[in-house]
Amino acid sequence: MICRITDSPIDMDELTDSLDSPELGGLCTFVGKVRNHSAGQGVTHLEYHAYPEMAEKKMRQVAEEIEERFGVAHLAMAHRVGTLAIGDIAVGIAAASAHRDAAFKACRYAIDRIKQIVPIWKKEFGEDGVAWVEGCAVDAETAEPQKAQNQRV
Amino acid sequence: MKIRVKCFAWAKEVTGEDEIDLEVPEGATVADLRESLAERFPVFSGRMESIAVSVNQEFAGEGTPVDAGDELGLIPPISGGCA
Repeated sequence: MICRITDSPIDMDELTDSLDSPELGGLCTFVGKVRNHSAGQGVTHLEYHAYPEMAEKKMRQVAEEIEERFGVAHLAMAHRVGTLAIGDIAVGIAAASAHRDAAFKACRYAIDRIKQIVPIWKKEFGEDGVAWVEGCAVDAETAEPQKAQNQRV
Repeated sequence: MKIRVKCFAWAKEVTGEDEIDLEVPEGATVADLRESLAERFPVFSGRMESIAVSVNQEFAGEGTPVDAGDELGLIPPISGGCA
């Protein structure tokens, strides 16, 4: 299983190749790319920051949750940090199982959950200035997300 | 006792540091960490509820003990992945 924070470009072939096994008939991938707009404003580039040790630990937690929920144990997830240009891959996920349904569910859950509990931050640079994009504040007592407002800096 | 706290994203920007040292009483909890943080960096006071605290790489509630040997972090709202 790959759960990785990296400052190098994400290679989707590496992620999918890592799940190559004769019993796996369904393989689903998600590729998150840097978009040229956000909340109606143009975006020129992004910076991703992480707490790498905790981020990889929380990615492993996401993988455990997926195995419990969907019985999918074949996962590969990588999130990039550093300065990214429009079109760069920020996050790559691959999930494989015997049949397609579980693979789709696992892949969807992985990206949604990464956005909730994995300590990674996005700073947007655009025509409207610079802003930390603050999607999910984590409620300390429950360790679960609550909605947050973007913080202009 | 002195504790060392890692700062990330917005927290790193407003403190200007990767790590800060805070003074807390013996037997302190996350709540004491927050009190000491707000005293030293008042900018946190207004948005403390959106900042999570991690203790040894896990999100920690207000009553969680903090010790000088723990790995502590300030976790502003996260935005990983890609919509």
